[in-house]
Amino acid sequence: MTGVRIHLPAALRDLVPGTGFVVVDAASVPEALEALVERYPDLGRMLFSDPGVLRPHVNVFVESGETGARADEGPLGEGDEIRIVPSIAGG
Amino acid sequence: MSRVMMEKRATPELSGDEIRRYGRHLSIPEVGPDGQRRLKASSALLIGAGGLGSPAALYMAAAGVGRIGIVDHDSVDLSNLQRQILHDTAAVGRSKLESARSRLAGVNPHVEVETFETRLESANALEIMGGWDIVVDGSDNFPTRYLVNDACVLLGIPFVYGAILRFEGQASVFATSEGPCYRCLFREPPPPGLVPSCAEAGVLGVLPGIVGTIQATEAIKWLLGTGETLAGRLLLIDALRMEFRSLNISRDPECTVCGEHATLTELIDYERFCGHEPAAAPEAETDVDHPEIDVEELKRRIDANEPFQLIDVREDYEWDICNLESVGARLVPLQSLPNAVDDLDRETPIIIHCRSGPRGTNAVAYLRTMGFDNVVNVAGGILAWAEAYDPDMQVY
Repeated sequence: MTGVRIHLPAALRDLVPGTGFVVVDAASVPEALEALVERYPDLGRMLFSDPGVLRPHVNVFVESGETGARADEGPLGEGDEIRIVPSIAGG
Repeated sequence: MSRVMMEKRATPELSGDEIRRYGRHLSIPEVGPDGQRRLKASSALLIGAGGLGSPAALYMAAAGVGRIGIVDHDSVDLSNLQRQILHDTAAVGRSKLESARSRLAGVNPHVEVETFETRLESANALEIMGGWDIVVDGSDNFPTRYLVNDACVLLGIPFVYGAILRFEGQASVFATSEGPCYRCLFREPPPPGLVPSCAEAGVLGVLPGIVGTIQATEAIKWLLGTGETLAGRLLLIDALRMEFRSLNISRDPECTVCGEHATLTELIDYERFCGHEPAAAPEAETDVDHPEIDVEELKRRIDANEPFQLIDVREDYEWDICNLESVGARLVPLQSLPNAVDDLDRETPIIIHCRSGPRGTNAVAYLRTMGFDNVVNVAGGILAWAEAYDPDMQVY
């Protein structure tokens, strides 16, 4: 277990006090999201349509250094960060 | 049109005036006289002349994109001017397209501007969008975004995506021959009301300036056939931290419109796809098939002392500007609605209102999914009420 930073988009920041990210102890993306929702239950409805099932307009990326790619369920690497990216429509 | 076909297209000569005008382009190796002629021969269609469309249109016109189309059906509102730099104070109340046309003609008279004063819909999208070299999506709602994506995939035209909220933006290039489309990234829209719009959550005025100019940059690069576009990458812009992140995205083999076994082969009803109810007639009565009432009906019910719960789903600061507390309204901001569901009386009709209507529509859709059958939205929101019954009310 290690501290993982989860970056939240503007659309979710009203539900979480602070500066737009949360640090949780987790070894994988599913663990990290579970810990996030446990700490901030209001986020659960925003992120998941059913327990463990991400809503189809929500993407989760893992950033390793300068590159980022869609998250899978595998273990997180040292220094990896998670970024939640929902669709927004403003123009 | 594919890049290969564009490259085979005959390019027009530049006039003496154009050579002087585009001098700073002509000295860039990646543009040069050939590239500038190619821009002159090219075309781009902008969806929306709003926050994103404004800078995109201005820079593409200034750059000499030969033919620029714009689709919009709105008129200029005072609240647009904080970010929509195509329009000025004198244009308030005028058609956005009239305003855009005169502004772009002033920026560059060598550019041909074609306007489509209509709402982009499934019935007209293929006709309007067909034949352009690239599309720039500056729309402001999910139904239009999915419509633009699907039409571009079906027509084989790439589009430059941009979206904004508060201090954050997203940009990419979708629907190229190899890259992903919008649906590959966002398979389905969020349920109504779950993701706030700029009207609800706000947007920093300069943000569409950043994102719209990125869109113009990508469109111009595509038209020139130079550089690496954002196809296959999603650019995230965080103006609050002034951070730019590029995330790799790829085509979804199971995508319903561009995947290996695509099932979506024609345009659909995007309002329904996005969970929005079709608009009801103004004289509609309250029942489950007609989720809207007009302000006259609201007034009638107030005057008749009919029982109802009047819920204002705007934000606190909007309530402070104006409200309907005197006729029993109660504030429950849209994002707080899920937490207030248990406090609502399921036996008493619920009437929702917001500023002008859209948030109320989302609130009605949400409450209906939560089992509330007798819930309606006030068409036109508090603005319509003020116009009809309270002309001294401070509106915004």
